[in-house]
Amino acid sequence: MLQKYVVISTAFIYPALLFAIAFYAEKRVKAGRSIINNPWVYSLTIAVYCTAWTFYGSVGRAANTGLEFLAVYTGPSLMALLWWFILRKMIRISKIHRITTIADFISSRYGKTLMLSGLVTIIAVVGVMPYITLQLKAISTSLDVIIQYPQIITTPKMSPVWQDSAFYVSLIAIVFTILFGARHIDAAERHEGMVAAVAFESVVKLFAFLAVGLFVTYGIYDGVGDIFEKARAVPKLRALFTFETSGYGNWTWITFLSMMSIMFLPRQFQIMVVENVDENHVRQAAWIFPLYLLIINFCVLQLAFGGMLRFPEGNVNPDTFVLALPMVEQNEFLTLIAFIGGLSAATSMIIVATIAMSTMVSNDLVLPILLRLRFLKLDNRRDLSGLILGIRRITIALIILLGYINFRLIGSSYALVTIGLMSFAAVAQFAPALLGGIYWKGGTRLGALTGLSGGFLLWLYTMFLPSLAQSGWLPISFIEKGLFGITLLKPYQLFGLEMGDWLGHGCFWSLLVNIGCYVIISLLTRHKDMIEEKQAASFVDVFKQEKEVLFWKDDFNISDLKRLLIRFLGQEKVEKALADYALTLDKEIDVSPELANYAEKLLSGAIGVSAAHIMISSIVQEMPLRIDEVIDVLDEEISERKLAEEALGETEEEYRTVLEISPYPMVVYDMEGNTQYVNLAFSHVFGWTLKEIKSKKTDYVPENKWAETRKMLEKVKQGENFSNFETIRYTKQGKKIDVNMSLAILKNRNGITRGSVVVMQDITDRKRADEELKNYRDHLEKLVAERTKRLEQQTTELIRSKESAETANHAKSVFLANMSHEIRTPMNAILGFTEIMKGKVFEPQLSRYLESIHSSGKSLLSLIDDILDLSKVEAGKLELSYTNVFPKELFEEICSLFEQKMNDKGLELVIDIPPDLPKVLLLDETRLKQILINLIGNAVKFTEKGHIKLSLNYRYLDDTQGNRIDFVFSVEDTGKGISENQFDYIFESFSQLKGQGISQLGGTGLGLAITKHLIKKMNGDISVDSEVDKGTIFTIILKEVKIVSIETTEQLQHKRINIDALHFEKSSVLIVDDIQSNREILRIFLEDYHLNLIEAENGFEAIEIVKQHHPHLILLDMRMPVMDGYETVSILKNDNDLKQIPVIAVTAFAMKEDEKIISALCDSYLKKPLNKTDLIFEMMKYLPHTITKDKPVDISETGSTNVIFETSAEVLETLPELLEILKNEQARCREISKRMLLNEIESFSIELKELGTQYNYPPLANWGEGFYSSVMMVDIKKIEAFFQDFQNMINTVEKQIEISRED
Amino acid sequence: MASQKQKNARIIILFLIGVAFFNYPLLSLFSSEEGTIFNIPLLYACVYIIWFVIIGCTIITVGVHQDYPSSHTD
Repeated sequence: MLQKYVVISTAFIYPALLFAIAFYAEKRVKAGRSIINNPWVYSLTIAVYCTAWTFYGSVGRAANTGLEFLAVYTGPSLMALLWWFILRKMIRISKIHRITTIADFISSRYGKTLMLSGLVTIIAVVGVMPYITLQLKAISTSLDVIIQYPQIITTPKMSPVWQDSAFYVSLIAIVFTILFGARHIDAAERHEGMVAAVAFESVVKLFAFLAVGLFVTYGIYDGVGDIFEKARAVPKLRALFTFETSGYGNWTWITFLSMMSIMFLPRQFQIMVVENVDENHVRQAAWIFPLYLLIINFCVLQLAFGGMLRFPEGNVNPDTFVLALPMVEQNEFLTLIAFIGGLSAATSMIIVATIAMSTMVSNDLVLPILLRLRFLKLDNRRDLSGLILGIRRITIALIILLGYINFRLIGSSYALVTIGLMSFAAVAQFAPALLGGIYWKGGTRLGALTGLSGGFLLWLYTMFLPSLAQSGWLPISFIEKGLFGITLLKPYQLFGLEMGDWLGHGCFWSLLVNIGCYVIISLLTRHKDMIEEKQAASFVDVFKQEKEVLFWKDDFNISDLKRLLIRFLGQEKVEKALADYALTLDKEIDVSPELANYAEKLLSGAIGVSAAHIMISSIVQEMPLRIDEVIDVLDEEISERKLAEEALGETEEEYRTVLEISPYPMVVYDMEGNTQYVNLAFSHVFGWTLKEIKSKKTDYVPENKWAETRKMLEKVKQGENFSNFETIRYTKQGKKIDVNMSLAILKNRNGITRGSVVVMQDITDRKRADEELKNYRDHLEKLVAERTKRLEQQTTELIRSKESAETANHAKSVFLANMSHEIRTPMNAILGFTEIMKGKVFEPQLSRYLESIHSSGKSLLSLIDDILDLSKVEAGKLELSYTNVFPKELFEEICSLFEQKMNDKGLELVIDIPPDLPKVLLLDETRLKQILINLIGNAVKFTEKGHIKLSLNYRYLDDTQGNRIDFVFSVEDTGKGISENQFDYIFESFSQLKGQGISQLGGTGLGLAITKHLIKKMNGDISVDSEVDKGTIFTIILKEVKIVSIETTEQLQHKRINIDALHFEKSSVLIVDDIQSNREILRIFLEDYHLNLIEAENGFEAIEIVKQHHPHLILLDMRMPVMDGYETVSILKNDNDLKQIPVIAVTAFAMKEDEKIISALCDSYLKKPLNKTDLIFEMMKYLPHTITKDKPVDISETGSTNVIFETSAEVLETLPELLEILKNEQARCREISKRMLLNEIESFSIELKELGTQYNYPPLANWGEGFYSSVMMVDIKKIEAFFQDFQNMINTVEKQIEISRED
Repeated sequence: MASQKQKNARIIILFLIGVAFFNYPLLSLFSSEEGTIFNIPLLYACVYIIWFVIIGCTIITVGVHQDYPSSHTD
């Protein structure tokens, strides 16, 4: 049993729930977590469109006209598609200009005039007031119906006001609206509580309606098909299945009107524009809201047909079917639900519409009037904010009460739907001025005013007044006969136009006049002032406007402005607002057009744009700019921007193409970091397609890069751009890749940051290559370091081993040189005694043994000689001494040496010397001879038949200006030859050709080794070419041999002079030496030259002698006791009488330093051991002399073999032994003289010299010395003389022995 | 991915299609007493279906979720 008190208490409890929700929502907003900031709540609040008219009226209308009711919803549903363009623009404009009502909107567009806003307000009030009445009527009716439960009485009698539930509901609505709709002075502030409550009510009415609809469809009937099946059986109902009942005209008009209403009904404007939190919600609302409409209308037809079938008698008003159907089925709960649904639909509309209307009325009608009423002295009131709020609250109460009164007066007379459509038609009058205002800059204030007033008047005349007439408030003749009985003025057939339906007729006329006036007057007039001009541009180009054009002067007083603001807004709010403004400026507030503009907008929110403008103009003067200038400025600005935009528009697709084909992955993010766009390259590299990732956060930043990325994003938000930033990202598959990224923020044309763009380059491969390269380089470096270290070690070792090898080699050579001498001495004894024994042993076997010992000993000795020679070379003791050499003569001389031997063998000698061979070359004559003797000696030795050929050649060196030549000579034989594989070995020490024994051919195998060493030393090379049994050719190249010029040659010609053919004129020579033997040698060297030789033992003695005798030349030893050579020569050279006497220093220890000192002190110097030739040549410089040619070689001066010495008894005792040795050497002497190998001869001479020293027998020692020196000088003739003289030497020794025996 | 401009164009085309279908003469095609779809009168069924299709297309075009902040291409 649905008790009356249940219904009544529900009617009061339900609003309490709304209060609770509203409070909760406002609390949430204060906590910073709004529950309304999303497209769903936004769309639900837009559903305030669905009022009690929808809830009850749709069903009623469907029952009468079929589908026609639906046009009220399909229209807005289509309009929602255009919201993104129209609604969003209205939202943007309103936010910029702090517009709070549709009256403000239109007024602001046309120059902020009060006349226009007032007109719009009046139209809205007149047009919409019946709509509020409609809601109250719906509540009242529903209550009346439900209270009768279970009786269904749809034509209730009017109860007194104090018993009328609708009155109390009105009061509750007033309280709620004031509480949640007029709390703040600034109407531009959102009413979050109210919005939340409205959204909630939208949900309630949807569910209530669906519940009843589904109950009827499936509870009372057997589904949708069943209802229509049954309806089809009723002809009246079947007629409703088509448009025939209503006609298409109505449908189209209703569609059009509803499309306008959804935009321009004051409550829709309030919800969709003023209460909008984020203009992007519009986009989703474009489908959420139509979907809501679709769902809520899903059961309307079922309810209508169900009701018609259920109440065929027609005693139940179809407008109450929603209640009546559950009631008739006695479903108390659903009945109550249906009532609550209707209640929610009505209250939400009342609340929102009232807020919107009250703001309009108070700001655009009441306040301007009050401010103009001087007797109220409002100008003197310091704070008007309280008054303004009061006015607004009173207006709210008045509007709702007016609606109630209206309902009480005329309510029952008209159907709900008619009232609703009339309201729609009224607000449709706003369309031309409003839409024209935001898309056509040419629309003027006058155009808007005339259009609006014209349209409104015709609306009044063709729709509103006839409705009053139908209600009995005006005579019905007004409809039937026209105004003043004029047929043409019949409101439903104006000017005789017959359209069949009042709606189409009224709409046609009103809109025709409206649009016509607006367009024509606008075209005919110009903007009245620059504010209008500016606002037109600002509205139309709201999305393109970068900067507002300001028209305020900057010569106002801030305190005046502040006082003005405080009057309307209150102290606290103004302080806060100005503080906020200062914050955005980032400086102190100063007098500026911007401040005036800000103040105007601040005020607009509270008292409307028109009033605000008037208020501000009372303090701040407007700029006296000529309007033309402003127009020019704006036009210019706009046309430029337009051009840029067109260009951009054209290129957008091109840019897209560029992005798509770019090989670099790109991502566009919004400010929340959600992905908005990725290009193909991104999908390719990272694996995500745009579809997968759109509007999501990309989950590809590795954990260890979070901090880095966050930091980067912070910086990007502050406007910093990043480029070439290397980091790591994951692909969809989780693969890690290295990227080089650049990041920049994206701004729209108004400079508002809307997101960021990231461009990346996949550098994984490059990184890996770098890494590998680095590893490889590291490895290589390590390797190199290791190798270097090892190499250094090896080098050090090598150097060390080389040093030690050199040391060892040197030591070896020194050792060998020493050892040769040491060995030679005992060997001499061995050989000597073997020789002696051979003469005393006659037993054949012993003789053979002795012979064997002798020959072995000799081999050993010659081996030692070679070793000695080689050792000298290797030990570096061999010094070259370059002298002028006559190559032709030298070669001929050497060849003559071998003439005899070759004749014996029957060999032919060929000498090939080019005629233009330079005459004189700078060479070491001695060593050159040694080389030639070795080579020619070998050739002779190994050749049995044929010839030996000696060839000389040379070639000039280009870069020495003909100063130097490469001197080439070769020795060719027709001997047994050398096989090619032995070419490399023949120059090695101790190597002889295979099968070639010492005994067989003689020699030690060191000859060629020595030769090679010598040639090397002379900067030359030796090579061999040979063929077995055909012959051998040795070729020697001496490189860069200096040619001696002819003049020099002439001077030194005497070098070639035979010193034996020289005669000094009578001169005296002083010999100074402390050693008697030395003086003796000099005496022997010089005795042939018939010089007066004087001797001195020391310097002191020498000076005395010089002073006495004035010798022509002094030969001075430098190291002497008493007074040495240095002191002596300095004394002599400091003595004026003596200093012209030449002094030749003769010294053994000529170190480099000594050499310098000596050459500075003395006229010249000679090195010991003395060489006779050098001595004579040197003396030739100072002593007058003559030369006789071709004197035979004489070696007698070297210690005449005939001279018998006075000797001691001990010496005499050993002489026979010496004699025996010498005799044994006779055979060897002959052999050596035959072979003519220089090193052999040299060691032979040394041996003899040493024998002389050993046996203390000077004649032999001197003889050996002479022999040795002739060998050193390679004086072949002398050497031969010495060989021949050897027998004489033996004879001398024999004589000495005989003499001593005789003694 | 369609650009904002393409999306806007699609929305407007959708609007025009909607206007065309919800008006005479196209609507008259379904205005038949006899025709039914699942026992529902042809006109009713068709209007609801067209309505639903338009909403579906809108969802596809603008997306279920909120788009990124304002892009001014109108």
